[in-house]
Amino acid sequence: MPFLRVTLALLTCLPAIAGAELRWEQPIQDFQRSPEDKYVEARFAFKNVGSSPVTIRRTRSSCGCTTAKLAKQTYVPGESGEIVAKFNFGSRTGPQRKTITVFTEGKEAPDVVLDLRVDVQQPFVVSPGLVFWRIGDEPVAKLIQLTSANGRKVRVKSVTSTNPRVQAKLQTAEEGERYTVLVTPAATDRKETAELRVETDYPADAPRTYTIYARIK
Amino acid sequence: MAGQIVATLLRVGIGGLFIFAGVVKIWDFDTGGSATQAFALEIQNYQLTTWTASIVAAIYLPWLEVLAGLALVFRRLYTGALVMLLALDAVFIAALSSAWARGLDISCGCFGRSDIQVNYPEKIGQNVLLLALLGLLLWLECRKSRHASRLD
Amino acid sequence: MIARGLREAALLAALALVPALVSGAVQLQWKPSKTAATRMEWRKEEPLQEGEVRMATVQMWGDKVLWVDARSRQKYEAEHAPDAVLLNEDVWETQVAEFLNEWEPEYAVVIYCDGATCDASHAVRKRLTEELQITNVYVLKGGWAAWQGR
Repeated sequence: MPFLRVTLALLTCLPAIAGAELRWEQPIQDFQRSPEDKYVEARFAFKNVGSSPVTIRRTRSSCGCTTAKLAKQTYVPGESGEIVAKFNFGSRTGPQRKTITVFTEGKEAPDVVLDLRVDVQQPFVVSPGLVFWRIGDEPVAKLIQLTSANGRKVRVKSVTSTNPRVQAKLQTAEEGERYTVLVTPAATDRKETAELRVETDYPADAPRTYTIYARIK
Repeated sequence: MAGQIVATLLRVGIGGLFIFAGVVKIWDFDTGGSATQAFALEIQNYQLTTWTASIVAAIYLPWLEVLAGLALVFRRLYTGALVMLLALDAVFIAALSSAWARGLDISCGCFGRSDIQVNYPEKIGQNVLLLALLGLLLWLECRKSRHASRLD
Repeated sequence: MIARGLREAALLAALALVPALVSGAVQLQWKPSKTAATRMEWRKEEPLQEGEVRMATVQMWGDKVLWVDARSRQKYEAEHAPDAVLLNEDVWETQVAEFLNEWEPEYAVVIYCDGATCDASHAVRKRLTEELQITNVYVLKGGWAAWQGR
């Protein structure tokens, strides 16, 4: 009977649901990096320990700049594979957490939620990053603390203002450890915009410049 | 006779599939809450509807799926259920194709050049297969009723 | 045959309306209001996370709001809230100066990203409050979707 044969042929295309299983070696991975590393790459290895082929139909990342790469989507029993997750830090610092939810064929619910944790340890802290005065305020100096963090020694080479009407004076409390910047406006009679560039010597191959924002509104 | 068994298996199988698909769009078993808002956001991702229309669809469509699925399993309002599911599937294929044509990333609701991109050909292919199976069941039903009327 | 199919389908559609209307009424707390347009809001019991604010509240603040769009540049350029500034962690360095140019200390800063499950807006809020020590920064509950449904 042609109908029977055709239907059976069609049915074998449908994924087998029973006996499908992936075992994930390390679904949670922790890293410590510096901002200059720019990104971290985590390899989430898995193996098909079930009795039928498993197809990964899609992944969903928690929002953010994480890409997930998969060589192919279907794995036969006994076959191993890995999802390579690359997380670009951008200007993010501190503890970061990105999750990747993996969905397999035949299951409506997610198969696993992969957890990628990175502590992007910033070597240098500028606090606060913004100083402002309202028009008519007393043009008093405002203080900004610059501190080396996470065991780094960061030397401040200079602090320059982009606007001559907003002056910046650098004071060294402890070389390579702590500095202060005194920001003083010439006057607060009108709106002003200024950026203070803090030049450092770290990292040696590409020293970073930090920005302090000053506004008179 | 064997053909009859296969047809029944198809009917019950596809009916069950739609019941399950509808239920998970109504209730999120993982977090124990309503799944409607998440579904509305998914619909919104296709950028074919207004937000209000997405909410209405997110509330109504799952129940259509569940009832049509039940109708298939219990063979009640059978023809209508097949027509309904054919229509729903056709609309879904059209939406997927539209999203594919516009290069939409519908897999991540938020911005994030993340994820394996939704495999459009695969997803569309699966639903075309489903459409074909539904069509097959409908054709069988037509043939059966024509055959029955010829016996009168 | 076709006629029967359509008839039965219509009956199914009508039957499905019953649980759908019940579900809709429960979830949307549909209340007839005095104004011509009825508003749709999700369950009010959903608690606000730290720094979050509802669209209805923001609308009461009127003009003194600076909108921040934390979505991708693509989505921002397609459509954004009036006078919204683009600011997200990917373009922070280049965009924060522009944000500060628009910012006034009296304004309430309200950040939105894609939807209910997005965390980009919270990340931006964290940086604005911790690094720049700006107060009055909020995250719009429900994100862009809430803006569209206002």
